[in-house]
Amino acid sequence: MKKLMLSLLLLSALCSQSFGAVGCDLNDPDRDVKRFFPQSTGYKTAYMSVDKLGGETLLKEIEEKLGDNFSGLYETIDVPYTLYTIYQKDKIIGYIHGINQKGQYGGLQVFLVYLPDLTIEDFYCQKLTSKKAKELRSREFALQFNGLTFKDFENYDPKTAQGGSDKVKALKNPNPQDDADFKAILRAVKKNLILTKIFINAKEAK
Amino acid sequence: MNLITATGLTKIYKRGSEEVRALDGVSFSIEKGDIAAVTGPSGSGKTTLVNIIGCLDNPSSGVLKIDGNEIFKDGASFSESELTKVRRKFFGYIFQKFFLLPTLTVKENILVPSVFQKELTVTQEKINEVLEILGIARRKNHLPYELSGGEMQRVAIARALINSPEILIADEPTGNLDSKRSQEIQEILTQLNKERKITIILVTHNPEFAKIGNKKIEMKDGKITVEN
Amino acid sequence: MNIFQISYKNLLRRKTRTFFTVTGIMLSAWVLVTLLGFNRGYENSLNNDIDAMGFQIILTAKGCPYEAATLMLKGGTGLRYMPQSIVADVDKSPEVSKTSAMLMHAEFDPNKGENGGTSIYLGIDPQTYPEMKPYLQFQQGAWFNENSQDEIVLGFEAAELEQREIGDLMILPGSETEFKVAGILKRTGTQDDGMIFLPLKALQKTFGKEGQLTMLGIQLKREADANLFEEELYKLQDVQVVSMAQVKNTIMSLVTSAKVIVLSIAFIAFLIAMFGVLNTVLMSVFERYQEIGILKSMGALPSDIFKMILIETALLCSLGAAFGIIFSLAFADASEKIIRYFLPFTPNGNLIAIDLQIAALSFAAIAAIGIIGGIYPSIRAAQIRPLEAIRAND
Repeated sequence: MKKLMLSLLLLSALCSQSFGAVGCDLNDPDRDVKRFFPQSTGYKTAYMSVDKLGGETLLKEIEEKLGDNFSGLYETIDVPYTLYTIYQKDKIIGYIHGINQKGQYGGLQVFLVYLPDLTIEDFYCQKLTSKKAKELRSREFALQFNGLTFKDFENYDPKTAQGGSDKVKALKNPNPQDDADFKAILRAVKKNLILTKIFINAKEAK
Repeated sequence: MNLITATGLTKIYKRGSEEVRALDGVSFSIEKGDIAAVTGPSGSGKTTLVNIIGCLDNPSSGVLKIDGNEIFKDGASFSESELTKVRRKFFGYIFQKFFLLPTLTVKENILVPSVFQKELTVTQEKINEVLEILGIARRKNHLPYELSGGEMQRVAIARALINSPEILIADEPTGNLDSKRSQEIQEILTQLNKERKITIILVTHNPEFAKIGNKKIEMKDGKITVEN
Repeated sequence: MNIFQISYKNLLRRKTRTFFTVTGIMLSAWVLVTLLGFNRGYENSLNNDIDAMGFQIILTAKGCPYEAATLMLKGGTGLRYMPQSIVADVDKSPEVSKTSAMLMHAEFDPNKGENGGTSIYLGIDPQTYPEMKPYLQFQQGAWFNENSQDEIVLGFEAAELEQREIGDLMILPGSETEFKVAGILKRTGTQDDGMIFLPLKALQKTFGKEGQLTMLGIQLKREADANLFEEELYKLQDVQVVSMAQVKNTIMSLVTSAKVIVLSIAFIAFLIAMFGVLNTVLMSVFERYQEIGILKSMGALPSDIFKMILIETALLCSLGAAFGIIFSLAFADASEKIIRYFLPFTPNGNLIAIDLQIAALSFAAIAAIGIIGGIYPSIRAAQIRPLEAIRAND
């Protein structure tokens, strides 16, 4: 009997079709939403992509705002994004949105927790492969982003890692001698801010 | 010369426990080239008689000779296949109902006997000739439902003639036709008899029609009452 | 004019009835061809899938989960190891064509999700593994070369998650060693998609598992007796043997019972079709009672009539069977989707393989069964006596 089970398991693994997860979802949305918004009573999940919302034109617009081009195998126009809208009864009390970002040694999943006016309420790096992962995932590092808005990042140039408001300039890299992943995180934050604004506008327009 | 000789033909049907003598010791002869008109009231046994002559049925007893061959003798039953062989050789049949195959054209209907009679080869000339005689040449590619009753009976006659039979059995051939069409069929039969020397055995209860016969057989209750 | 034409035209007389009879036969032919095609296709695909695994036998340490899904369920624990020396023992056997040693390792990564997660790595022998899995194709790059110690190959989804392209660097949790991505596999639809492949020695070194293996893939020589060799393997201490032949037999026996049920349904469909034919033809014989009598008066022998009716039946059946075969070909994809939906295990590849042999066999079977259904009406028709038929008109 055991052998039979083993055989079946093996074969099911051999045969089962899995479908790609290119997007960036919360691993455990129920728990994560409660963690960031303890007062929440529920949340809605919306799946969006630049491709469907506005195509090439929108992509251009985003790249312009970001100050950098989408590049590589995984940062494409058809990546699905997941926007979580958080409710307390009927009232929207915030949003959570995460994006994938290519890091030095692996993928980063950078989530931002927003208040309804799109001020950053919290920062959460769900996944991070880095030699300095511990510091970058620390509470101290995350807290630095609280209260920032798109305005702060408007002049930030991800290519040179220059510019941005004083608050952005004040963001502290825990490992000044190794800034690849720090820069990647800042780029992800700016991209997250831009996309979240677009997605929420699109959602309201509906 | 006698083509058909019958001696003491008897046909007994069993209807429950009752015996019905449809033919009761009938004897007669028909010569080659005769038109024999068999008349009589319904149930007199005229159809039974021509069925036995035409080898569609076995007699219960008696002797039937056709062209010198003893076909039936003293109630010896023939098998279906044996009867078929005699029928192929001597007879063509036409009936009150025309029994054309509805899915076949006039020409195809006429050719049906040749499908089953391997020894029968039908040339195009033969077909044209038969169609001409019966005046249905221009209808040869029509289907039966497109024909009038008279035309259908002509097709049935043409079909009966295709194997060049010596004897044509016609059982009430005009029973389903109006008087004008009946007249036409009568003329055709007379003509066939005259020009082709086909012996015709005609069953009818129409005394006018019976007049075309040079020989008359009148029947009543399974017996011949008049033969001349 | 011949009997065939008469029969054929008879069928056109009642077009609707002919149509429905043909449809009935077509449906049963369709079922039959699809089932036979499935019978063949399933086994072929299963064989192909199993051959594609490259190994006929996998040797693991007793009680060791050798499959990623099981490992994930157990949270990456429960792995057991065999000494690397076992490779030499197995290689000695004359039945063995090739072996490939593997080490599967599950490592806790604290930076994966809120509370950390498990990543699974497979250490493989760059010399033998690619050869044993020739069906693995690359989206980018290629396997690491034989002596490489710092390269890595990613399954399609693993690469997506890590956002890696060839040339990118990677590190393993708890280690500072940098690996360079040498290749990214195409999507396979198997557990390989989520796998991270490293050179066996590098993985052993990184996680301190020198000299240890979790699995040994064995490819047998073509002429070797797999069953005998399995017995042989059990003499080694503390190993379990998983053979693909067993897997295949298990699956086949599961599928066989399903097939028996379906075949019996097909058989019933067959019987229904046969009685449908019998009924239709018998009805048409009774309808043409007089006509058949007249044909006999015109010289048709009983055997001619028998032949005529049987030809009608054969025409109906052949037509139905032909359409059934066409339908089964046309809808093979749809049938396959349905089968995939209902069956628990379906291999890749064509599940329904209809070839000329199956088509011919089904055609013959349907025609034969239909003709058997036509025999009784044909006999009845042959027995009609012309006199009775003509009399029936009075």
